[in-house]
Amino acid sequence: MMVRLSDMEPEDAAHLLSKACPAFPGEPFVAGPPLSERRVAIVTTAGLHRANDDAFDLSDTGYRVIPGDVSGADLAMSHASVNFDRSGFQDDVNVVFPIDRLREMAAAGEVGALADFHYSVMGAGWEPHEIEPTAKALATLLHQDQVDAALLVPV
Amino acid sequence: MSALGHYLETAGIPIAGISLVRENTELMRPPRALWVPFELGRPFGAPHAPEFQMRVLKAVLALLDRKDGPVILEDFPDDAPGAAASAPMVCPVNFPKPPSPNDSDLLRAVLAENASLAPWHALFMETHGRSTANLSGFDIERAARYAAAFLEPDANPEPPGGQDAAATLRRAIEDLRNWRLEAITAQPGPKPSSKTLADWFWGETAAGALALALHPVLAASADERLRQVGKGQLVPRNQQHRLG
Repeated sequence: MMVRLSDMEPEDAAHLLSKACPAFPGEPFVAGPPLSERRVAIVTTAGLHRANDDAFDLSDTGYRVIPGDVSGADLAMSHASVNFDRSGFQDDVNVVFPIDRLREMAAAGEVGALADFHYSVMGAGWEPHEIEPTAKALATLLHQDQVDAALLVPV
Repeated sequence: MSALGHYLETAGIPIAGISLVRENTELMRPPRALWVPFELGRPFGAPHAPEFQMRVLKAVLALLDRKDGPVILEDFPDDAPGAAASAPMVCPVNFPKPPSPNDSDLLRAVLAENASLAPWHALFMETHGRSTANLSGFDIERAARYAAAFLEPDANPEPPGGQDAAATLRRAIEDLRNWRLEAITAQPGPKPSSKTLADWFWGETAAGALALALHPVLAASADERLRQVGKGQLVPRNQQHRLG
């Protein structure tokens, strides 16, 4: 099944197009070293967390920490939206959280290193500007981890 | 996602992101985005397709080596493997006798469905080593009993450990759904598409019928949180045609 809007159920397409989409200024554009020298963290809006961590609440703008050595089997998804597929994630976490693929790239020297920690938020129930405080907190943590590449993954 | 990326880049963290809805990404102009023509919930295309997942991953991370910003939006050229396939489902569910004469008919049907699918869920656990039906804190029987209790007049089921009743109800329904999808996909035969699975859960299972039955009850609740769950966190938009 495709996710081109023209291929979606009309009510789903209309909902997606109704979301607030502020036009950001298109800057800055931060320079960095080649990918093979970068330290990469995943930041996902899929509402992932370790199974024993607190689940995400409705309209939750907090974040959860995912240790770099996490096992995919230890990840839960408590995203508030019921309007996307879960069966792919059930079958293989890498379809949402590509940790095994990133480890393969690091082992092959195609990325410099992986971060000690990855992060997750739950991308529903809040307006775009409401995530700014969380983003600032995450940026501080990523800087402390010497991360210079964040892979952003929606769901 | 685009907003989060904008704020991270502004704070000095270079980002590269997947875009699932190109139209919205065009408007919000994050620094580096790769639009992928995959369904919502599958940003790397398909499960157990490591070579394809790697192609997507390398395509999005390659944007970090580009110098032609400040706004880069590329399109991934290929559909996900298996995207066109939609295997029909054959589910030989054989319900055992109702476990308790005191339960409501719907609850009895859900519990019978649990029992019928339990061997398949056990097989899923053997092959995957994990379950995503782990959100409410209930086992699958208690998840059913907790959700069904909201159908009773003047129901006020107590969630465990001081949790929020509405959030626990939402998670219990998710657990019932996730557990069934895991069980049914453990059965032999080609993998059903996500749409086939969703249509099966909402159209053919007792747990789906329970969730649909909860919708009008929650909509009429005096509890704002329960009304919120009933309105937006219970039945997907593309399944709401099943509501009476």
